[in-house]
Amino acid sequence: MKKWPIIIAITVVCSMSIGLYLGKLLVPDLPVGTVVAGIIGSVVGVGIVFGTIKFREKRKGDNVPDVDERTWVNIKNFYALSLYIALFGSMLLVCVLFAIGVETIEIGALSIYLLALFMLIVVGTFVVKRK
Amino acid sequence: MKVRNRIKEIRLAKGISQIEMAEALQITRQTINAVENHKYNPSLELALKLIKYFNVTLDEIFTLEEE
Repeated sequence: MKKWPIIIAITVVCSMSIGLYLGKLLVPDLPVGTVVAGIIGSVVGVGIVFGTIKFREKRKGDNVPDVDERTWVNIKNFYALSLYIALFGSMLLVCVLFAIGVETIEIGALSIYLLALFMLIVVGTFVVKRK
Repeated sequence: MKVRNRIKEIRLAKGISQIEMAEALQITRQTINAVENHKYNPSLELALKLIKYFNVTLDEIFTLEEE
């Protein structure tokens, strides 16, 4: 369990490097303020998550784990179900859009739809984890 | 066929609380509740841990209910 913070830190640094590289590639004159804000935001975000984990560990008096085999089974079942809902829901949405005469979908709208989908899955995972 | 268990009965007979059991077996209290109320069948690993923890045989804890 001790190695997790190192893995998370490496993942954050790698993701930030890839993000900055792609950002520079797509927008060559990227303002320094935006880059700094991105880096500070990432560091603060990870700090808040680690801080919350440490705070919860200190507050908890017993040695009972938060996650066990039943939690993983529940999460797996939730992902299996959400995959079907996302696939059939998306298909239904495309059919409805086609029926009402929409012929093209903007990449922006698509990215917002995917973002909402991911957020719902993340929220659902947390709800299932606590059950 | 349903798997029935006598975990709650054995636990109470030995005077063990759910928290103590959860700490010893490294499972959540919700899982103990689910297993005791026959809503979740434990994995083979957890079943073997339970046998060792309560120091009983398999058929003393788990039985297969004929339909």
